[in-house]
Amino acid sequence: MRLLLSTAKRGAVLAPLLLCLMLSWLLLPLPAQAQGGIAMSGTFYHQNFEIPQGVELSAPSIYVVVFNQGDEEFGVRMSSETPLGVDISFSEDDFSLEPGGQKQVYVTVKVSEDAIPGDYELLICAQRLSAETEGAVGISTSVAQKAKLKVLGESAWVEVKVLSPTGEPVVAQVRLFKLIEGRENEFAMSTSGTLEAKVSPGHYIVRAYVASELLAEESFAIAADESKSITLTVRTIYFGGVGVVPHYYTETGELAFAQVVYTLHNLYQPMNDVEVILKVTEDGVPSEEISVLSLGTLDVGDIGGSYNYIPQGGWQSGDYGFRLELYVGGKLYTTTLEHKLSTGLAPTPINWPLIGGIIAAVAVIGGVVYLVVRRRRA
Amino acid sequence: MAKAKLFKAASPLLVLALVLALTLVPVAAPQAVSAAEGQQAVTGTANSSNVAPSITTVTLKNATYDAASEMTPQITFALNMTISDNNTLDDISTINIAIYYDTGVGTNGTRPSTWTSSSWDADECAIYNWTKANGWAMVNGSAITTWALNGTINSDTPSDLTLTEDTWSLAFKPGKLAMEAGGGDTDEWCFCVNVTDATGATAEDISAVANSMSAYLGIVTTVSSISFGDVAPGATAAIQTPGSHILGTNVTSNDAYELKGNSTSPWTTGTYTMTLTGENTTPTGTRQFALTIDDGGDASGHPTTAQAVNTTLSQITGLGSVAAPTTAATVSEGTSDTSLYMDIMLGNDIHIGTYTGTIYLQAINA
Repeated sequence: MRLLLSTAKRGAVLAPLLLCLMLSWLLLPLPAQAQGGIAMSGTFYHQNFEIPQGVELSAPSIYVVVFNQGDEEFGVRMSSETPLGVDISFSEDDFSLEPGGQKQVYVTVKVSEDAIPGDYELLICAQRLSAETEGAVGISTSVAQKAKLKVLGESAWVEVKVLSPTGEPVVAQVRLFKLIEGRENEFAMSTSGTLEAKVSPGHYIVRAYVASELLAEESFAIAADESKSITLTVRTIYFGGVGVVPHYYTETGELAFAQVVYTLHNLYQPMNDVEVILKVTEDGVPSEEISVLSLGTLDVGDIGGSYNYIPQGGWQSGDYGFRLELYVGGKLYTTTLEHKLSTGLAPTPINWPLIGGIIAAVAVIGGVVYLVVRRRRA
Repeated sequence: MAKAKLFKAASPLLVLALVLALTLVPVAAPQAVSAAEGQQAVTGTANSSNVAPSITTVTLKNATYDAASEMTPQITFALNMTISDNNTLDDISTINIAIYYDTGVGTNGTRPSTWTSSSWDADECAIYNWTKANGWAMVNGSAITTWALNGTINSDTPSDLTLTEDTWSLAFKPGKLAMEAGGGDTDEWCFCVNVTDATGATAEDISAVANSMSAYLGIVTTVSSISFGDVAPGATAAIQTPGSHILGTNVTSNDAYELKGNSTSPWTTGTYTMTLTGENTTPTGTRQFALTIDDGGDASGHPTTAQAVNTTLSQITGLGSVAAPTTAATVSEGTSDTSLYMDIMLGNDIHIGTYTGTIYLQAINA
């Protein structure tokens, strides 16, 4: 922008000079392209922090994303507004963004021991940095998000550990969420299979993940000054896609066999001495146990299997139940639910040509008998 | 004797009846099937019955496949759908997916009535599908959108279709206008997954674990600088450049927002300075100036209701809670455009020169 100012001296002598100056400045070029193109999104806006004094809170789910929506590179500076005793830090404070680029910035909220308990509002801002243009009034844009913070003077202590069914520690991702107004707000996270955290009193849910799969969770409430120890037991091998598919004879429609299908998922580590047993019941009474899979080592990943089952004594009318059990090292590790298959004696199929033949034969016989009787009378 | 004759006469009938009886016996007897220990053989030809597919789980993941319950516009997420089919996964022919906004938490809302682009609505409903023949697709028709298929990760399908259960993964980026939702006790986004097998048997699952959508807010001004032209001391001037007398802002947002403004002070020529008063009247002091702003103005560019611009950010009246731009079904996305009008008022004893300063505009999710 060009701003021509004159002094308060309004002498007629100055007027021609002023006019010349005005005209000369009017010829100066002005940048006219659009400015801005900065945008921000992210989860910070929805956070409802409830943090005790002396706790620093950060989690992968607490972040903002800054975007360059424009067509030229620019710098970005992150800043915050916090109450006394509360600090916000960013994974990156200053950075540049290419056109179309974006940066995910993780946010940490630190509440000091001196912070005064109460309800506050936090604000974080992403400012587009613009070089000042000589002789112009530049326009600079920024975007901001707010979040709620409650500083608490009381706290509690939570310990979480993740174990296998045999009691061995499992390296798992552990995530602790606080339930506030029906929403899960992440409070702490660990990738070691154990988690220790100073928390605010309230209701929580803790979850254990292996290979990004949720394997265990537990909800609990904790009061001020309380300590709580949570153990999550995870089965890192489990059945999926289990079913019983009946197969019927094409010619007769009778039940031929039941195909028991399954997929075995191993998420964590190779396991030795693995066996899958199929247990069958007939009208609720155990009838057969069959080893359908036996492996020296079950590698990480998925394997599929199936077994065509026919009862030793042939199919009977009734309800058959099928359940798979997984044994590791000879010990029961996990089972499936029982899958039912109802059978009945299959209805005898109608053989229309034969029936037609019988009717024809009866008609012929009837005719023969009629002719014999008639001849005798004659 | 008569009895003997009658028997003799009926004997062909008895023979025929006996033949018929012998013929019928095999029809009523069960088919023989070998029954041996272990995996057993079948005598004859047997066909499997079709079992409808089922959806085991639907989970939202971030781009590193960690569990997520909140989506962020323009960030890649994966919707993992674990699907089982006892006839093996090779039986699955189509998967339709709707990602849609729901105002009532826990109700799962109402999924779109079709899986076609006629249900596409950039701020409320995105539709994707997978077909065995063509793979993944985004079903947005001709609507220009910032929703996207794939991103920093790509959609994926099971590699072994002989399994009975595995996971399809839809990688997608929510659009800039995808309506902000708080999850929890407020509003939410739902996922509806509809699976069809080769015989047309279907399974459907609606998953809405209070999924929320982050706010998205972007601002662009129509010019990078403005000029008030040549102003005499004690005078007032509106924006002269651009010639429209307007500082235009284009805001892209999926939530209500607030617009604030402030200015640096002092403005300087490099040698001389003048100071912002922060008032909406002509300065009476020396080397002072005032700025006013409004979202309404006259044809010359003067604000209708002049509000003072200060050195600290303050809300521009009338722009405390601007509604997010919305779109109708099948329509392309747009922005929320606001025209700002400004005046500069100069005090006395200001040195001649070209003064430099900066005006800041801040958009905040309200």
